[in-house]
Amino acid sequence: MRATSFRSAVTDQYHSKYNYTMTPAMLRARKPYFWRNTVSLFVLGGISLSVYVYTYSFLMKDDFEDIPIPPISDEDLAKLKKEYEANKLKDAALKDK
Amino acid sequence: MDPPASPDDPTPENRFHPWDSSPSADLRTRAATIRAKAKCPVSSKDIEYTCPISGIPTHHSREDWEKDTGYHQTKKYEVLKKVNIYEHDLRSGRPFPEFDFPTVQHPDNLVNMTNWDTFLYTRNFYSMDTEFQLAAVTKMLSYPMTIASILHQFSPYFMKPKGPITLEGLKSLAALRYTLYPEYRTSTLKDRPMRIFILGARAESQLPGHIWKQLGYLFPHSEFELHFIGPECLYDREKRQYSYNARPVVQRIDEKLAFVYHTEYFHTLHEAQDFFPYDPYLDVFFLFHPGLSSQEAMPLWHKSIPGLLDSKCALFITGYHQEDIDRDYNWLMENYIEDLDVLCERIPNLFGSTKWELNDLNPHEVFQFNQQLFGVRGKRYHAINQG
Repeated sequence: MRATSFRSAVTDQYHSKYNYTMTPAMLRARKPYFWRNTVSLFVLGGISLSVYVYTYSFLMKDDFEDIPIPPISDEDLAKLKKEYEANKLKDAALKDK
Repeated sequence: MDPPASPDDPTPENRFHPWDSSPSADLRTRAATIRAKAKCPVSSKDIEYTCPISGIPTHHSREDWEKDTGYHQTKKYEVLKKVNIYEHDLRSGRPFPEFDFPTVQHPDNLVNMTNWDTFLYTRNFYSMDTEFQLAAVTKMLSYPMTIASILHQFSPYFMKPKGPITLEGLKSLAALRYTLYPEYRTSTLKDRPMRIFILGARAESQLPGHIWKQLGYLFPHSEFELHFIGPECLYDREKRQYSYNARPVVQRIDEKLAFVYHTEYFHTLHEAQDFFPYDPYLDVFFLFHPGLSSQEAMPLWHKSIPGLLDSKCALFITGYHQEDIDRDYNWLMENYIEDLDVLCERIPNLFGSTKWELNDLNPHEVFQFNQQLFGVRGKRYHAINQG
């Protein structure tokens, strides 16, 4: 007699050991539930999918108009630009080495 | 992708042999029995022609075989072919890993008793991929599973109108389940094991202990005594005959299951009050294809049935096929309608054997063990308030 085996062993026994597909016995056991399971898959999947779609479409409408961009003077801008260019040159020089 | 087929794998093609030229000697003997004893249904002559589709001798000649329109319309040859290939498969000598039965059921894993497939899957039996493996296993498991599927709290038989169980049936089953599920009980009283009486036991009393233990694994909190009753319940394998014992023979399988063999008829034991007191909470009767209305058995059943109904315990009866169960049901209703309540209407048993068999005396009569089922009980009279 086979030793006590719980759920994990079930999955092994009811899958083909060659290609891990479900055995005919398992397909027969699942048959009474196939259509109801499929409908549930679409219902539950549909709920989460519609939440994603709604969120995505809602967020895409936002153009961030209401967020104030902090004012910056021309001097500061020129200074930042200069720093940026310098850094870029430095990086390029390092890469060449 | 798929592995190469092993010659051991049973298929309808490699298990098919005409019974007359079968590789197995006992099937050749059975073919000879059919030829010697059965009659052709068309011409009523001796059977001399073997049906080419089923491989079983069925008719007197080819003309009779062609003339038998009922035989071809109902596709009986397909059922007969199944009889043929299942018998050859059992004698093929292939390995039988499906007889490696599971043991204890994890309490978190519920057993689904919708049908054989869901039961075998949830109980974690060997994956039975072909009809041959199912036929071999269900023929034996049919006896304990017929009992378990009726008594279990997740029984597939529902109350009317969703199922076959009547209100009286629900009362009886509720009483039995009260015993079987002590965790739902307020009182801890437990005085003795549950007794399951099996009357007219033949094949079922010879099933090995580990088959009946499958019943125990489904009711882990209960103790059972299986009482096999009848002159054919105790088979002596050494002497190759049924043995008689004036006293019951007890065989203990484990701490939860015991077999008790009574080699007398039920009415003798009932009159001697051997089983008293009966308790509808603790006792249940099963009659596996009793043939209540058959000529030989009827006088004996006329003696036993009043005792069974007197006990007020549930009584479940199975039959080989629709006609058989109708005969038994009608016979009971004709003779005892005043004294009994129907617990369960006639239905195809969900846990009948899937292996087809045939009657050697009439190869056109095909049947399966425990194919049909119904239940009755002696009428209980309620106290009337006289005011």
